[in-house]
Amino acid sequence: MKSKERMQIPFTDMPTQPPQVRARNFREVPYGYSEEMAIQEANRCLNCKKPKCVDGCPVRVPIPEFIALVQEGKFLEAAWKIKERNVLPAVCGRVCPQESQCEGLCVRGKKGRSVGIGNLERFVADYERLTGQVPEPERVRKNGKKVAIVGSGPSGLTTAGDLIQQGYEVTVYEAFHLGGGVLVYGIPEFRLPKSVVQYEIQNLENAGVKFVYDSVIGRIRGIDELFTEDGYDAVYIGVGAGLPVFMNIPGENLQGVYSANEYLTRSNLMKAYLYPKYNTPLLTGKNVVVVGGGNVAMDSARTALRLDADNVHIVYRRSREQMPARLEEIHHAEEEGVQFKLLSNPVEIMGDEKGRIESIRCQRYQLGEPDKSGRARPVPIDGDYFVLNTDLIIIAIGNKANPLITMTTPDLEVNKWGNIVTDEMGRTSKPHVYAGGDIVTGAATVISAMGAGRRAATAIHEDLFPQVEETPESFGVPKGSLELKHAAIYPNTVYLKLNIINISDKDLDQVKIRVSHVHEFFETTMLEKTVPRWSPGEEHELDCPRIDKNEKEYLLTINDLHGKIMSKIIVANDVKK
Amino acid sequence: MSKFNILKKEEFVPNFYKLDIKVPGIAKKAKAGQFILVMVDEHSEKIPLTLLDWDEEKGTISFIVQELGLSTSKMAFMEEGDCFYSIVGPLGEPAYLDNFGTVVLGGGCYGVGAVYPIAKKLKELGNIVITIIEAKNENLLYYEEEYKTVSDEVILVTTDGSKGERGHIYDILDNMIEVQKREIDHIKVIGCNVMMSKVSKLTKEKGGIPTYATVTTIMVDGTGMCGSCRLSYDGKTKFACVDGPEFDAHKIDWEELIHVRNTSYITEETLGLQNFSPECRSLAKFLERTKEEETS
Repeated sequence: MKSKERMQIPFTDMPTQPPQVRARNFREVPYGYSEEMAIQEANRCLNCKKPKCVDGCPVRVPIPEFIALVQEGKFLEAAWKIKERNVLPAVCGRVCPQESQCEGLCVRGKKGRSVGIGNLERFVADYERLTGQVPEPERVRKNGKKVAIVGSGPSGLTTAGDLIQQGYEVTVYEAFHLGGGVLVYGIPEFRLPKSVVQYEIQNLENAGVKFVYDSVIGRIRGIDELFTEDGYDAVYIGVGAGLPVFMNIPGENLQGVYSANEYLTRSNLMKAYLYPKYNTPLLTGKNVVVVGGGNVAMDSARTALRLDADNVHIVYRRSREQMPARLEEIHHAEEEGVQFKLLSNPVEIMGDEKGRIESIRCQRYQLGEPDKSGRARPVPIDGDYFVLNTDLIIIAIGNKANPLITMTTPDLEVNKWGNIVTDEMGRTSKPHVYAGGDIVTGAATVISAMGAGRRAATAIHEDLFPQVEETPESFGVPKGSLELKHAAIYPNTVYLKLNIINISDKDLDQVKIRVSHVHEFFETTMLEKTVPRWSPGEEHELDCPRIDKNEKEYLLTINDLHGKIMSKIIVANDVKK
Repeated sequence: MSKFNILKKEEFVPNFYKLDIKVPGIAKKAKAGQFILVMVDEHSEKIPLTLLDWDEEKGTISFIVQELGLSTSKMAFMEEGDCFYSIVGPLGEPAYLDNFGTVVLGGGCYGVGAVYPIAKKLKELGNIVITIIEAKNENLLYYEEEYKTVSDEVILVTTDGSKGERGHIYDILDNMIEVQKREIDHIKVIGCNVMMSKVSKLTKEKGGIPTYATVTTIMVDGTGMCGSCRLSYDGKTKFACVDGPEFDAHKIDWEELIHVRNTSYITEETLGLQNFSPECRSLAKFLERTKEEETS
């Protein structure tokens, strides 16, 4: 298909439950693509030489590659392609803010709609799950090191997935009775079915990750004890933000005022939406006010609608354009009938003599000068107030760092907001303790937490096995069995030439040669070549046409059946023409 | 998954049960004043229960359940060998303990048991420990003998006067302060919020003897994540699950805690209990067992 033809294919909308229907049930809103729809949407991808979309992805999913597989109808292969970089594709396809990441950088977005990358990711991940054709987890030789992961949210699961593939013994500690962290307690069923999360966790379990539930690290075990008593070699802290921010206005402790965390945890994790079958009660309201403009506010508002509210108002301090929620969520909320009171902020909550809330008083704001973040600062308008009658208020204005772990681990450095201080790879001030996700950055997105989890996994591996270039004895191939004879990177052309000589005295089976960019701690594979049998003395030459001239470093990795034999960074400047 | 097996169940007074469960991790780390969060089955609420005792060597923990609402009624129907779905702990900050001098401990309702580990620890620290335990009538008093081993003096008080003194904990305290002119350096109370608020009011008026109360609040996660257990303390919002559960009683906004925060779900709690039919549950168990027998 020519690019011109591809340009003419219109965007394929994902079919969804009609707003009036779905606003009264907890079933997932979009139905997902059919196979035909997926292929049609995939065909819109121009397979750019320099795919910008990948740069927008915190875990650098090989987007053009997987979409090319969808174009050919190879859905399973596409799913596996994504899984090389992302352990939770079914989750990310549903909850990533694609418009500000991959899709935001897609060239097709400059004129019209960008390729529905999120929709396609979701489709192939669901295809794999629903057809049940999951590949057997690779049997990886254990490397003898143990890692504890605290928190089973998106960052912890990613770290676990990466480390188990590298032969670590991985145990995930979770405070709740179910795994998934914010994916189960925070994000509602209608946006992310819990069976999807359960499935991803099951996959990790199948791969060998151990999950220990009902364990609050910091209470039942300190970080130090994980090393001294349980013998872990490294600990990753991915506990999330987890301390709700309140507004500190009068009336906030009245009956009927929830933090979004509490409201959503009761509904999602404890399944209060199925009360009384599930025993956890949840106050419901006819006139609900949700304060905040993020995804959590949208989730709360839409949950309230599904629990029979007549009116749901979102009160947000800034303007619509400044709402941090995913576009799709704002759109869905609006379709379902959520009303927006923008540029308004609550100042007081009023209740009756029994302590039940009755109304909320808000002040109107206007946009002023831009603040540090570049967003126009909302400024209160003197004397301009309005009152909303309400019987349920949900405060969704963010989370601070939960102090449980940092309080019990005094030598872990935190900043003035209580977030754990780390380097860019997630190393904390404490040796062999790593952290990532919301506990480091403050409340952010699922995918950025996953990116942090991935970087920490890399750091853990680097620190526990410092000299990766050397051939580990255990792989059974003598050191220096392969030699990089010649590498040439031509500064003004786009070719990389490598001559590799095998000086091993025995044949190697199924040798994989991979050349990749090393870019902000992520690798993008440019070339992968498999040599079925490599005899002693044989030379191989590689041409690598997909090279970005601006890149200064390349990583050359050679594996055989038994594992890594050699990896070497080649620096452009070092190589003479 | 036989993770949280009931090893022993004892009903020592009507509607009060003591359960022993093997949870070595909690038994190893528990400190006086801490609590656990319990889910009976997959459908249950998470409810907080104060630890009564623990044995690090055996790896067991014990707690007292007062049959009152839905979850505690479910527990009342559990038997030895049955399993809890989830037990998380130890949670909360340990009680503030020191060598204070003379300490008066007050326990009512479930608190009669909950005060025990604190008394034990305070005694070890060299305090003179006076324990007051309160119940509606003599049939509901328990743990008297155990307290004798960890207190210098045990005072019993019943509402109807059927055993010990007649009245309430605060009547006894009032008498100790006003009439007997006893020197008291520190007071700790555990029980229902109303009793504790009255003790707090009394000691605040009588020269402000340091008084600490272990508040009873509604919780969900127990890690500070949801704010369900928040209370106004000294003009600020505190979370009972991570900042407490023990607080300086004089700084607590008792009015808000008792009449606003803790009555949020009265209707749902009542409904929940009405929907729970012991007969159904027993019948289900009977059917399950006969089915097992048939298959084996």
